[in-house]
Amino acid sequence: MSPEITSWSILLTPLLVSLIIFSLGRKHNALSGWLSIAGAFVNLGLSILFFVNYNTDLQRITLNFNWFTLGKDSYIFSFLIDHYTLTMLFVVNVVALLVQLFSLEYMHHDRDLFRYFAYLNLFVFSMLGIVLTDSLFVMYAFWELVGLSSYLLIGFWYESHAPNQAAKKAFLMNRIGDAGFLLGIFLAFYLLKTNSLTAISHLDFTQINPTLLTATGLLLFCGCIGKSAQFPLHTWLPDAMEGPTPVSALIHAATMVAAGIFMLVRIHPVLTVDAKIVIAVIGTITMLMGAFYAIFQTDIKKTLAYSTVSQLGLMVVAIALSINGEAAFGHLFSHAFFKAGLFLCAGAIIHALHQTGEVFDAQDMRLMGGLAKKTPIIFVCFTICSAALMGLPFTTGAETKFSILKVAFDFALQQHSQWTWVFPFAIILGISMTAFYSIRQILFIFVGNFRNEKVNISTIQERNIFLNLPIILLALASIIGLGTILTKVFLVEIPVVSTWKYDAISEYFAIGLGLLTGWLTYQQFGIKMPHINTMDSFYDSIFVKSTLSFAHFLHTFDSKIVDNSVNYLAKLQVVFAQIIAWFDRSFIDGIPNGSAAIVGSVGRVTQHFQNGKVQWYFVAAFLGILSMIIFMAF
Amino acid sequence: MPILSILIFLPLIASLLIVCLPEQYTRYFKWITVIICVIELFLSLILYKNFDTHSASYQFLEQMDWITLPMGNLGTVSIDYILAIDGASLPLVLLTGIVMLIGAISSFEIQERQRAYFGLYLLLTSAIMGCFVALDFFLFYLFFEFMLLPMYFLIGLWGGPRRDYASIKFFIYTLVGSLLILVVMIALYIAAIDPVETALNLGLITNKLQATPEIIGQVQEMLRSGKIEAVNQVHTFNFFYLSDTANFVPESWLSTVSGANWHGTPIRMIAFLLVFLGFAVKLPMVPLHTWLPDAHVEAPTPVSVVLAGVLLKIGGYGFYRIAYSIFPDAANHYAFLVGILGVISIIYGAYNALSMRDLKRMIAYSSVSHMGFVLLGMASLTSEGINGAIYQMFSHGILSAMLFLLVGVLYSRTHDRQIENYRGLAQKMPQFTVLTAIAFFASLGLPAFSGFIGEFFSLMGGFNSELLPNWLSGVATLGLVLGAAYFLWTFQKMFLGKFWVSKNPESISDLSDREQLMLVSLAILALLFGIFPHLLFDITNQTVGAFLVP
Repeated sequence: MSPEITSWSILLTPLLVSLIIFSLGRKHNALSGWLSIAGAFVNLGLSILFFVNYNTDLQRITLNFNWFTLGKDSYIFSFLIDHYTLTMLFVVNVVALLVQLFSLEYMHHDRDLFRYFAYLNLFVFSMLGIVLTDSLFVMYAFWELVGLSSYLLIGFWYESHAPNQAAKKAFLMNRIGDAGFLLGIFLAFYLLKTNSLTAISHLDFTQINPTLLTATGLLLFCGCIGKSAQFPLHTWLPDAMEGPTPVSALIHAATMVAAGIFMLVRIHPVLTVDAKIVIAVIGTITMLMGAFYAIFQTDIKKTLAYSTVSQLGLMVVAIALSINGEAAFGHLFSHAFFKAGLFLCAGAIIHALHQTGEVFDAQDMRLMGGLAKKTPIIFVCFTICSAALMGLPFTTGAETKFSILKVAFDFALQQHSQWTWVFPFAIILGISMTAFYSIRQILFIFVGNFRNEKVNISTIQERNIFLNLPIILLALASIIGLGTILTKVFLVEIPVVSTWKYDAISEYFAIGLGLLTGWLTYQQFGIKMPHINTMDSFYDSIFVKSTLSFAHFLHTFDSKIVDNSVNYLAKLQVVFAQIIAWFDRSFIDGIPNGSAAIVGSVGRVTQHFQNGKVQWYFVAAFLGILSMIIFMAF
Repeated sequence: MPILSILIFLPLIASLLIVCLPEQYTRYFKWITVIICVIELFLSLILYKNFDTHSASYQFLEQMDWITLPMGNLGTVSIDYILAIDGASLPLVLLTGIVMLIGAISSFEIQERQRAYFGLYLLLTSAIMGCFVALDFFLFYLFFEFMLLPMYFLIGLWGGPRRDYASIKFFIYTLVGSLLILVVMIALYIAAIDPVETALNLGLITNKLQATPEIIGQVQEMLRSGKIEAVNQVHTFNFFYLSDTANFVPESWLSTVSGANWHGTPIRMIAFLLVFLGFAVKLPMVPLHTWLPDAHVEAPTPVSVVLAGVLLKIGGYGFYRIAYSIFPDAANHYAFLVGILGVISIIYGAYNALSMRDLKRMIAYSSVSHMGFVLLGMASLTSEGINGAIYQMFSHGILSAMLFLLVGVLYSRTHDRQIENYRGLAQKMPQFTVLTAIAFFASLGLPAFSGFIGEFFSLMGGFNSELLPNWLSGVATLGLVLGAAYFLWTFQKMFLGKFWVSKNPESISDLSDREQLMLVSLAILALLFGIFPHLLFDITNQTVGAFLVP
């Protein structure tokens, strides 16, 4: 198959499936899941075929399709097929397929199952659009569509309040970032005279105003701040956990939130040194803050969500510090599998707890404990994925995280100022914190005694193949063996100029320290956890409230001042008219009868229309236009 | 076939027919109206299909001498009956065809005084079409004024409780605006001559067909050097001649060379501002917008649809056709002023929409916000900006028609428009919810819908324009965020959550077939023009290009 046909089929299959599922409707709920999986299977096959045929390190195919012309510029719907595209196609399709398999069991009781699978396919379509496109303009279009599908999926259970609130928040937070992204696209087009990513990567930037180029890079980065939940717009991601758990796995861990990273990889040539420093600082803040918040969560999904925030921050740092996006992209790749695995494990646990039939918060880790015996498969898989998250040896995470660390040390060694050492050591601190909260999470869930008195532990079981198979596969993809094969096939070596000789030791020391302190605090304090305020209340009072009160103020201004001034003007006219009338009555004495007659006739006319004798007016209007026509004829 | 004349006169004749038909045919009035509107739409589609997209000039020209009056020393009055369309007016003619048909179908719910209603509705159709195809300022003004009358009665007689106030307000606002335009029209008339007729008058040619560019150049040269006496000047209202400054009598106020000024401001600039204000009322631009929410709230649904869908666009069309085409120098000079007024409209309208409790008012303010993008795009004087502005007008016509229909659906059931009186409508009205979601997301500028293209290119034009500072578009993007905020918030409050309706909950039922037909076709159009922007850009591109590089 030609690359044109392949890319179009890969892009359009999920859209087609989504439309079919939608049009079949609720009556075919049961069919929708299988249709969706069939579509995902086809797409995965096509993606692998595509990868096998076209993946070489140097090859870069651009396919252009004319869309429309405006002025003298052609807007082109174009595909860019390179190593990143092909790898992302694989990641998105694999995770989507596994998540949909998982959803078959997890969601099977839902009466709106068709809607769920239709939205999911809509999401895959939009995500693939971002991955495949060569044009920033088209990327923005798909970028927004991804936001829409995320909105629809977070708010999937629309009858309760919290998911709706979270969905709206996610969309608005993303919109704020996207406004910056949009301006970045405008500025890029203004400066570089193109919005093609291929053309941008071949440009010579020496002729371009560096201040504006920095601004372009930072504005484009705004899109990443929104979508990849970077500080200060990160607060939507933990809330997004109100959506169904498989959605959290696919969208809010593995793929959509990685779109920001993917975009940064794409626009990497535009980023100037100044822009990179700002990006690195924001990434560092996000990484440490996410890890910090992850420590204090009691909700199983919220811990993972903050951990995602933290890992995304790590990837952003990696992009900012490296000469190309490979290191960040590598971690994006491994993270997609182990984080999706962790979320699906969490989903499986929640599902198993729900199956007991009791009503309680099935996501609260304080109500878990000792589940290792009851759910051994989940326990093993969760531990493997967690180990990959921590970066323990023999996992894919170890390799990709260490690459980032090496890049950071390389950067620090290349620069001649001391403060650049902040970045690698911040990463080491982040690694330590990750180990800390991860080990505590495992201990909370799987070790010790079962802490929920409502439920008899013997009723908890794991038996479903649809739940277990995706989890097992994702765990295998995160560890030596399958994981090694995947990283060998899909990732490339990351060149570093200089290395710090203590890098490996410091990393393992950090992980060890995190594990040890995590275990010790668990021994000492158990599940006790202090409450930490998030930034939401701060944002609420500063931004939301002020926006609303400003809106209210403008509303008052509009009705009291703008509108009333017109009314007063009208009243002034009436008063003026009365003065004239009085003048007329008192001074122009000669024609009182005449003026009375005029006033009277005006009164009669207005009376008529007050009484609603529209026919009369209508006839008058017609006489007018008729006379006009007659006038015209002669 | 004189399609443009048919577009104008067919509804007029049908309107007469409705007036004359005996009482027992009352139930056919709505069908007559729908059939006429279908024909109108069909005719505009024929125009669309046969339009030469490679040409920037006026097409489907129909011309007749109408009034020729020798006025002694004031020269000769020449008012022509000229109809033609170009890339700027064709999208709006098409939009009128679509929206008027939807409005006619929506008018089925009108029960009282049907004869008057449908008569006026057809009259309105005729006047709007006339506005968009007239190429003579006098003719345009005639239609422009003529639109007011049916609109005034449609709001004032079939409207809500405060209809008297709203209709008078609408009338006075628009009338004041059109007076400003009238003043400029007269001044323009005094200033400009028709070179062809003048050549005829001077005896340079014996009939109009002999008028070559050389002859016209010769006349213009003679005019410049003052060789044509006032008696021989044939004055004109023709847009085509008005937009060429060489046709202006050198010593006239509006000529570029006379240097006439008022306290240092050239009269040309003042004339531009007057026309601008006149059309800004119609658009409407902040702070001249307060008639709009009142008119919308009181107007019956189909009238709201027409008002938001088409009438507002005459403001934008007037900017392009009159203010910008005749005074390009002033447009350049005042770009920043126009741009910032556009951005103020965007932000101000959006903030107001955010604090509205009445759904229809909220949508009215969102119209103010969306039409601000038209101003911004126009102000940029770039290809992206002006094409985007025209696209935005078209798109807003489709989407606002849809939004007002949606409000009408709810209002016709419960007679309540307060946002907080509804919750969880999705449970009882799934189809209505899906279509509202489409309309809301399309309006907040989601890609794949027409609103995205219009907003994107208006903003891009504003950003890339050399006349406007970059931060202006930056501020305007705040409008995108606020737009998402008020639409999503309203959607969440009314449609999500547990079902609860404060008034007449038993009357809640999903869409009827008629409502579905209207809403689904508009949704399809919004999608079509969102995915295939070339459908309109191919039409507007050449015209706008020629306007920018004359």
